Amino acid sequence: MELSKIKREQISNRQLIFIIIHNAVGTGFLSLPRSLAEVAQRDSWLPVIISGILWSGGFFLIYKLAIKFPNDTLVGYSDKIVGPYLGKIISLSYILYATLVTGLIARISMTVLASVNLPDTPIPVTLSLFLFTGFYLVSQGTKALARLDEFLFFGLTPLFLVLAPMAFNVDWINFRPMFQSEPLEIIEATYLTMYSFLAVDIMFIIFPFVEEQKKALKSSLIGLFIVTLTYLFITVLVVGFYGIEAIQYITWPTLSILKALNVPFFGRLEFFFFFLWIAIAFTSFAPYFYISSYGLADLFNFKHQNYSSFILLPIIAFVAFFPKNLLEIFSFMELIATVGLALTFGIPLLFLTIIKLRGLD
Amino acid sequence: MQNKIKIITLLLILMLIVGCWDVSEIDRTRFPTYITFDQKADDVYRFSTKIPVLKEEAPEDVSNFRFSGPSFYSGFKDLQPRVMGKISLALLRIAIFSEAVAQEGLKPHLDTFLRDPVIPGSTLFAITPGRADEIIDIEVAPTNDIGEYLELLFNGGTDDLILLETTLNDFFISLLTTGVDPIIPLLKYGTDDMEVKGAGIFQNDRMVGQLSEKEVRALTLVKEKGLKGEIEIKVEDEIVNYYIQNNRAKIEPSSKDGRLKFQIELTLDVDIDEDTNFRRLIDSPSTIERLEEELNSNLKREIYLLFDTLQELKSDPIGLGQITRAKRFDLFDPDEWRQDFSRAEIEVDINSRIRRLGIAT
Repeated sequence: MELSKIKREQISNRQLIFIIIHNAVGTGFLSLPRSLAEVAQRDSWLPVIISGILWSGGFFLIYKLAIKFPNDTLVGYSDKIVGPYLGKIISLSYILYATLVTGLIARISMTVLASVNLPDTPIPVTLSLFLFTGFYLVSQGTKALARLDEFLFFGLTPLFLVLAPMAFNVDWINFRPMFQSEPLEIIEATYLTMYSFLAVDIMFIIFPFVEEQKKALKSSLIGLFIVTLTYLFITVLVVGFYGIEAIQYITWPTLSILKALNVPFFGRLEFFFFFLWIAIAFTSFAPYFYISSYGLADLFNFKHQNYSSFILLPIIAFVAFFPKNLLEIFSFMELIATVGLALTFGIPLLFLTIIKLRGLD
Repeated sequence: MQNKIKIITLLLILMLIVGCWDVSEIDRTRFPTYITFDQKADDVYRFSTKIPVLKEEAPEDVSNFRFSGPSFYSGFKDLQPRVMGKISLALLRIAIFSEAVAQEGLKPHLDTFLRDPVIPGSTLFAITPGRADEIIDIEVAPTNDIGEYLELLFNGGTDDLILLETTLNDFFISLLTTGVDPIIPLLKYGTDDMEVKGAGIFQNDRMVGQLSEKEVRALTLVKEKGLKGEIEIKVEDEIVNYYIQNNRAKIEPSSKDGRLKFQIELTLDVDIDEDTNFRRLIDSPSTIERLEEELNSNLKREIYLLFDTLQELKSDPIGLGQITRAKRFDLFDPDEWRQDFSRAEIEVDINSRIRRLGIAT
């Protein structure tokens, strides 16, 4: 990649932390406590910690790979490692995966918006607003994405302050007795939790733009640590409040929990939470849109990223409308997330092995 | 930095308008604050509500409605065309069920309450012994808004001991959690006021019996912590009023001769509010000790009486099942819990400490 472009789009290590946090914390945490409680039951907090540890391994692998090609994205170095044909297939698979995730995040966000706050607004209207705002952000490049994430991190912190009063309503008895789940249940729950951490893969594309690449691993791990703490906080809060049986009946327990509180002056907290959550969902959607758009532009050598974003818009809209209902959304998301897990751990492992075998170090 | 502060300030201000309605939408929307549920005939229910009229020129301040249907939502749909404007349950404060409806089971009525995102989880539940829709004829002095009146009756009082409060969320959680049964306060209608008198106890969603005020007091002392409220006891034919400043109950399950045994240790911090004997307490540790013992023995008797009722009706609103599961997993059998609970041995130990005597005697 041209050094001038890297210089122009360069982001600080601090911004990398915010990008990772926003990319991971998006729509998954609204239903994560329910999925965890279903499988890991009273030990539902444990898979969150294990996932955090496993994903730090994912970051390490991607870092080890990316640091060998400091000026290239996945699209660039996959050609160099496995040759142009296989390299392009791998890059295209990754772009396709990111496009599908973008569409599904948009759909989940709009479904939640329609069920909770805007029941009479047609989904195409809200979806269009979401997509075009995303298009505009992505067209402004890496720096704009990083700045937005950095700014919104501080703007969105009140979201967790809104949740904080619920901590007084946590019944710790819901976590006892501890360690009663079978090891297989913990493994399955960890696997489910790992979906919610899918964000690590943005490093495949964003790494060349990081200012101090040698410190990129440290920055990524700080981001991951904050994500893990956030998920832990939400899981303990929601499972502790509802218990593992009642939570199974609630589609979005993290949103519903706020219905329980009637706070003087503010009244209904869930609408404040919702206001902030829309921005959180957007900051999770935008990086995937960015990954697919940048990857496509890089793959086909488009002069400007706008072209690829424009091509992707109808595809993302199609993906967003493809699932018939909420059940299909969840099952598609599960399928795509499995692919994401395979790509995030598989690509670096495969490439690092080939580099070793071919002596490309 | 200055710009960031400006934008964050703007965002925080924007938060205040989230959920705001436009002027005409408010005018067109009607907000009932209570709903009653009665059995009309087999599989048909009668509902009633009072909707405030906001127009100054209207001849009445409120409109009373009775409507019926096979389910709450069906009846609600039939009510809508009779009301000028759209009905929203966003400000619903209380749902009152007749005893007959509660005995038949509340599950069928719960669905709409949980599914509709605007109904607050903090909506109170109450049961009334006669017809619930007779509330329409009650004119309480302080306000036309019965919902607001009842909310203040439950929340605004200082006596936590008998003013048991059950919200939609509380009922939902205890209904679905193994090892705890729901409990709902009983509301008795007067001609121009209402009174909370005891509570209805449940097996799953069906009301199976009632607790007197004293039994409710015993239950809250064992179940909750940090309560405040008055207890009146006769000592040597004179009245002593104690004010509970704080309470803590420790419940330890164990097994004795193949039966469950619960050791309940209740600690109370109390003040003396009134002693009609007019005795001098300030230099009389033996009198203080005597008053403490009287309180202990009276409350112990009340708690044993409470357990007699609960064990006879095989209903566990305290959640001893949950406590057993948490502390002695080996002793908890979810399928046999009601039977085990009804046969369990209860041992109560109370330790009250008189802290303050008032400013005289």
